[in-house]
Amino acid sequence: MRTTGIILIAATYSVYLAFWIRIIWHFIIWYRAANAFKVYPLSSKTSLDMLALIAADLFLFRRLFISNKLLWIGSWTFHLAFVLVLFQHLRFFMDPVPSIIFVMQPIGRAAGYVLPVSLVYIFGLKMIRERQRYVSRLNILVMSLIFLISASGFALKFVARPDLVQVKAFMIGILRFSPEVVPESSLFLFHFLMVLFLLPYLPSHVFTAPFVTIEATKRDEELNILLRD
Amino acid sequence: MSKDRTTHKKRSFIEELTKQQVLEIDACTQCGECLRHCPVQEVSGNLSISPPEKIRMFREFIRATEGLKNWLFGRDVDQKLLEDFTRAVFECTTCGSCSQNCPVGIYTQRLWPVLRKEMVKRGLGPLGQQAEMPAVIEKTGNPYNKPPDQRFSPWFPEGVAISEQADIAYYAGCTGSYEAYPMVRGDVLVLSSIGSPFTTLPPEEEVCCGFPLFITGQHDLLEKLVKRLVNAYQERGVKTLLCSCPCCVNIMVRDWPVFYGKKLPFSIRHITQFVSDALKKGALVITSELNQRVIYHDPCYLSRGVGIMEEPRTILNSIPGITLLEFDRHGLDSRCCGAGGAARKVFQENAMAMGRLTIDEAVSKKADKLILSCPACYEKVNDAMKGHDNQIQIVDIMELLADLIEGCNQ
Repeated sequence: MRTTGIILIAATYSVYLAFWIRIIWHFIIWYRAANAFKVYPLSSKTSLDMLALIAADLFLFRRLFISNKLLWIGSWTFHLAFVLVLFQHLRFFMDPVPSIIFVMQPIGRAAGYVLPVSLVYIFGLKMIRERQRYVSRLNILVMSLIFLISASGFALKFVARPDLVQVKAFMIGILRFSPEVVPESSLFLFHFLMVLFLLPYLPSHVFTAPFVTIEATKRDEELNILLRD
Repeated sequence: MSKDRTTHKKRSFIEELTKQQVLEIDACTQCGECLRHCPVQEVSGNLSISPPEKIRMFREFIRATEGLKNWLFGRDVDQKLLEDFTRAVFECTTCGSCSQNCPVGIYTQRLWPVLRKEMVKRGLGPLGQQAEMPAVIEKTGNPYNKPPDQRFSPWFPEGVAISEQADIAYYAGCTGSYEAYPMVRGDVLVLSSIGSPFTTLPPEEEVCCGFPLFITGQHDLLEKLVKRLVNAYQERGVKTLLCSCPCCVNIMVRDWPVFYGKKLPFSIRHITQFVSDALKKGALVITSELNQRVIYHDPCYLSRGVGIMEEPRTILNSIPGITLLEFDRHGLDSRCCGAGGAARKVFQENAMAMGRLTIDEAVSKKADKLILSCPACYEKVNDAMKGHDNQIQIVDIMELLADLIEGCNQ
């Protein structure tokens, strides 16, 4: 195996290891929180209505919809497209490929078009229309990386298509800890490297926000009973 | 650097947090949506004190004491960043608008006071006058350093009968009693008109509810204050405790059970709940008309804090002839008048500017009266009107009502 391949595979496993260390470390911090601040529990019941609201919050970003409809269109579309593109890419990591992934391929391809457009829309909305003064450098970095990943993904499809058999063998080899030869496509290498760069910066809200949102929905319900019990 | 601060250097930044709050700090997407609703941002434009920046800074602190790099190599907390953060977290009015508009739903109206407490434990907060409050409350029973025996005498209406024992008790609160006389006087007059017997604690016994200490992160006295008040009301056979101050109501219903150690032996109600019920049942009748346009401001701790938005409007709409206007931001989205979070005691310019935004909008909507239902709002918005171009009559909701009920305001 060439030196580039060895370096790339070493980098991949390092990023993968760092990713899991980060997740575990966050879990340890959460576990060690002293819970010193006491909250008196209220007797709110989990009703079907509340479950529906929680589902709307988690899957439809209801809170953002209420707060900023224009941003909601971009943000919800972006997250949905991101998930669909990820799902579409599962065909490179699985052998045999489940039929559902084959069925979803056209939708995943369409999402691939939507993803960069939604990013440009969000960026344009915040910078030009809302003239937002607060800009998180981390968010800009993450959005830029996803845009580059997305753009190079397009180029891989329409400009310089790599040998997909090689690509799949390489990806499965990594997953099975039995690395294969790196595909001979510099565009693929760029695409793959950008994903490696993205992973350490993947915002932790992806993992924690759902738990916070569920509590927020319960809290909204509490507000209706707080002084009326 | 003081010895005290050095001692706190190794203290963990997650000691005061709940597990949920650790998740919340992690869950902030730094999207900046909250900035569009933050009243402090609106008047100061200082991004370094914005909600996502505060969370970003606190993440840095957690990393510095809990992070992997600290574990492997040791890492110091940046003292300048700590001081910047302290100022930022105490400049906030804790109005909860960021919480209400957070796409993730982070409960910042609770998070900021807890982060303030952490800074207090480190000897960095509270700021200015806020630091004097525990000693002043211990000495006088109120945060204004006013004589306890003058808590009721300047405003309590003559001829109103107070029962020794009653199902209903009225808690006037410190800000109303010392800084917003018309409001608490209106409360008592309206309660008296309803006719149900009610009790109050003697002026020396009705001490601070604990909210100013809670909100500035100084929790040491809280248990003592809460137990003293709850036991005193229990001895009077109270089943419902009424109060008009949103901050008091907030701490009573949310935190008194925690400091008392169990469920309270009585219910807490905001006065507008009791009065709107009395109007519906016919126990209170509004006898005069008011052919005016009035605009009602939702106090942050009444709307976002405890969910009371309907009852004040029910009362106002019961007044014959009245036209009730709304602020562009009302109900759960109400904009802070600048009085919240004890920030007005230190960051007075911000508070004045916020108060004037409230006045300006009320005037631009051609309201004849600006109706408030919070003593802190009453004090601060009246302050903000001094020397301001726009002028409007500021009235508390119970003050207004007392004027419209026959035989009430005599």
